[in-house]
Amino acid sequence: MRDRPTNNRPTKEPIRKPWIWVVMAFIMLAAIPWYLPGGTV
Amino acid sequence: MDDLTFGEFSGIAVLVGYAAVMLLIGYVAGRGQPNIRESVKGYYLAGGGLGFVALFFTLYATQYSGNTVIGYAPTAYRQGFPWLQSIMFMTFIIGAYLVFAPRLYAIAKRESFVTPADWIRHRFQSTAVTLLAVLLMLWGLGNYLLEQLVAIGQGISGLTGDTVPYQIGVVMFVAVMLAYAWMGGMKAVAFTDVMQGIALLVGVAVLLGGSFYLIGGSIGEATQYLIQNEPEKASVPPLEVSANWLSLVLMVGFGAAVYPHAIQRIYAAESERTLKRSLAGMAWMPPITTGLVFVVGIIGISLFPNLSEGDSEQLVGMIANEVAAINIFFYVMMILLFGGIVAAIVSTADSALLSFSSMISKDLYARHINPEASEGRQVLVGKLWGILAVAVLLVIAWNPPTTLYNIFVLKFELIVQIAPAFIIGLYWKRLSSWPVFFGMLAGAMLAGGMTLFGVGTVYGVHGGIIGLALNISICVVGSLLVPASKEEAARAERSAELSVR
Repeated sequence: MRDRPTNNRPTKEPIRKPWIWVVMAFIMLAAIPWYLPGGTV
Repeated sequence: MDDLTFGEFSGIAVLVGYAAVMLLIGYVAGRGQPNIRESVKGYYLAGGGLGFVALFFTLYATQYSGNTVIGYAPTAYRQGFPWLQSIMFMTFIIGAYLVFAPRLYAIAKRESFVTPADWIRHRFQSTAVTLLAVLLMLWGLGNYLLEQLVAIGQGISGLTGDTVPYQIGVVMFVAVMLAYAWMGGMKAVAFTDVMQGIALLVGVAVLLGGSFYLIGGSIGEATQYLIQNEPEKASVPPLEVSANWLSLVLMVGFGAAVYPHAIQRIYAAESERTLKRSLAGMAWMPPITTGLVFVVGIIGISLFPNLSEGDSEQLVGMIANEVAAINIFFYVMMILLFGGIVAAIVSTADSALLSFSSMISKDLYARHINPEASEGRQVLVGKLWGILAVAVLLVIAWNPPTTLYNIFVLKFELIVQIAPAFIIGLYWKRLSSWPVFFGMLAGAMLAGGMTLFGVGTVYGVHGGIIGLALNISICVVGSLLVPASKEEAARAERSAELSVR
């Protein structure tokens, strides 16, 4: 079984990119329409 | 899936075919790893060498089961457009992964983690925190496995028109699963996930194609039918329901991302790039899996109106019957779909079982019972305890609970309580062990207690999320009020130390 050497390059963290938070916020807003009047189609 | 007109002996033939391929994959995977019986990392993590295709499909099989088809389509039928949230919460899981997976991966490779508890132990150096986390994870995995076992039995009896009864179906396929997992460990599980994932994806696409054919090709008409006849299934819900949706998105999003078997797939990635590519691919799977299943459920409303809740559970079987009657192509594809559904359930169960075994062998047996045990013995003990756990769950699965969705929600209530130890623990050096312990314990007791006393939600918010809020509050306030000792702070600094850009 291969045991790969530890990668010493710096880790790139997606959470440091703003777009990921924008997409997450969009998903929440699209998923939960609390801002629309209840009962409308 | 009762009364499938296309099932019976052709159904048995396709199931035997799937089982044979799974066993073959297990055998080949085992032969390709000569030291698999002697290495916990080799057996439980495929040596940390899963490439893109295997990692992507095994992540897919971990998050999506056959239940995603046979359980979610009826939910879309009953709830209507609100079940679009199934796409959202499956997408949110990927967002939750991105929050912590790359950092956890880098530390896991550096420290050679095998089980999720390895991170907890490494970060907090506390037996109490680690044991509590292990117990919660084992509880969640047990519940998760039980759900899959019930679904395997229902799927097989449905596909074969009860020619193979529920109980026989469960035992036969569990035996197949145990055999290939025994032979090939994580590698066998990941490779069977590739076959099972492809079968599920193709099957769902054909089911949707057939459903469109049955309604004349227009989703617009199905939607109009819904608006005219059941407008409440297409309208904006009241605020309490919105709170319930937010709660479900958070609970499934964070809960599924910290599934023990999901975390082990992060450890098993060949490289950081492989992990990120797999997660990027996974971001597309909610619309083309739960999204397509959602549309099938909506089409079902106009095809089979006014089904009771119990009857609606058979929706996928009813639609498949109609689709199979279109022509020989659809007939064959529906048989393959239902075989694929059973295979997909098995692929989800095997991941959970492997993770369960790894925690028994490494976190309990090797750590607390026999610290001198060789890795080969640890692997053997994990395998045997896995079989014992499955045997106990089979006894429970013999008389299964009725609605699949209810048990699905239950398993997240406790497992989501380990999320702060992973996510906050990775980023906030001040988080100390005792607040994490009491937070996790209080959150689990509150969530479990609410479930036990039949209080599923408060103003639409699930017990698991209320417990998580309490858990996080105790973690944060406790760590601020009782600062970690210098030694603990230095250790936390070292444990999460990472070069980040």
